[in-house]
Amino acid sequence: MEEDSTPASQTAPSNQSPGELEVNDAVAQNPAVLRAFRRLQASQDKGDHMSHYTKHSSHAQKHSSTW
Amino acid sequence: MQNGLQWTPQDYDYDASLKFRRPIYTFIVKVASRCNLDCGYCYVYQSPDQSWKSKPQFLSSAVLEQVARRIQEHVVTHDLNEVSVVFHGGEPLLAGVDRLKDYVTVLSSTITCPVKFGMQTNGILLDKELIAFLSENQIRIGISLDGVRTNNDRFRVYHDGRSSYDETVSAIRLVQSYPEHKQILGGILVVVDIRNKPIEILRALDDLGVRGANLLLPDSNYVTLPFRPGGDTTAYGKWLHEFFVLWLESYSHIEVPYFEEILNLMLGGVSTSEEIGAQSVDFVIVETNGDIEAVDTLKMVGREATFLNLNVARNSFDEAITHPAIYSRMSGFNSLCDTCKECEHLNHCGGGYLPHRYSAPNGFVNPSVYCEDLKYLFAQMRSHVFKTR
Repeated sequence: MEEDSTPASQTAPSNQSPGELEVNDAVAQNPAVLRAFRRLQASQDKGDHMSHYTKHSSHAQKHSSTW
Repeated sequence: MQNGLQWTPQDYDYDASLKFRRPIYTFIVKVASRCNLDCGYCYVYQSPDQSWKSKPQFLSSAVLEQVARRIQEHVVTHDLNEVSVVFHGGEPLLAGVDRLKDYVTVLSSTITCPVKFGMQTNGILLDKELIAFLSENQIRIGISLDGVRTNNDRFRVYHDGRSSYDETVSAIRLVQSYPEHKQILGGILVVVDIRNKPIEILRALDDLGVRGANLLLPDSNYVTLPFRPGGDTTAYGKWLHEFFVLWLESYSHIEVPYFEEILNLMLGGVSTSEEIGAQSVDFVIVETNGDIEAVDTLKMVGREATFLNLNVARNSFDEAITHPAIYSRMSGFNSLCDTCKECEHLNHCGGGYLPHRYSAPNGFVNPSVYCEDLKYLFAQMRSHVFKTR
């Protein structure tokens, strides 16, 4: 098992451009959209690791990790 | 440790996939293999895998100690600075408060890094003593409830067919009566049934005053197909879209991780959901007999998908990661079929939820059985939330 601090996502295929979408003004301040931005910020923090088990619980835990 | 199921495509690039391997951070421990409910859609008791019948009813002290030692071994090997243990079942509260206290004591005293505890329960057995135990040990719980009474009663019933609605709602209310309820109750789990009305579910969640609820698509695959009246291939996508619009417009104070993770992915983030996105899933299941499984919802496929010939008595969690059932979910897009790899929604979908991909001829190398639903939902969400370019 190779140790790598890269987040678990994989580089997008060239025909996709994640992160370049712009939110509609009408929903920009919606609490759900703001929470999505907070999730984005958390997922971009390479010092953190997100655990995944929403199927098994209705909440996910965020682990600070050196991995 | 291989078995006959196809977990990865023929052209799976093992070496390229290695960079997505990571340790296990979350251990979903089955502490009870029986349930006080008999839900019609249950992936444990209504599935082709009936191995629960031969498993110990409760996690024994001996197996618990093996689990704790294996987690500690994993912590040391990978220098983990925190792990999660989720008590699961069956119904985990059937284990009783004394066993649960023992589990926490043994795990906390054996594992040298901090342990976050969680539990998924139907809530029915919650009482003051159990809530005090949850509070003292900072154990967050999720409670399953499918909406209003008529929604919930369709599947979530006792073994004699009685409704479980009142007891479940009472349990939620009991937890909410404690000042620290926000630390205890993580949220509500709702299984999608397209016969239910999204607005009724949202009103019910709002009336309950819960701050979070997640949606689960039914555990279907290409062998056990989803319920689709009229054969509508986007019926679930349309239902989810209706729910999404209502939620965003009037109920967005309630956290719904399913949608928020999709938005996060559209913004370029990494999902924390095992159902959406192609992130490395970093949990395993440990059954009451110590068997290690990839994910328990694979019981809907059959015993060949859950029995990995791995057990904490013989195998480390590092050995478990070498099984394709587990490493295929730590492979980025490499484990997906060509259709998914070429899809415009790949970044948002990641192939969907593993058990939903199963077919007899191709194993798990298929698009999700909800593929058309997901594509519909992603397109609608994208046009609703983001500017067109």
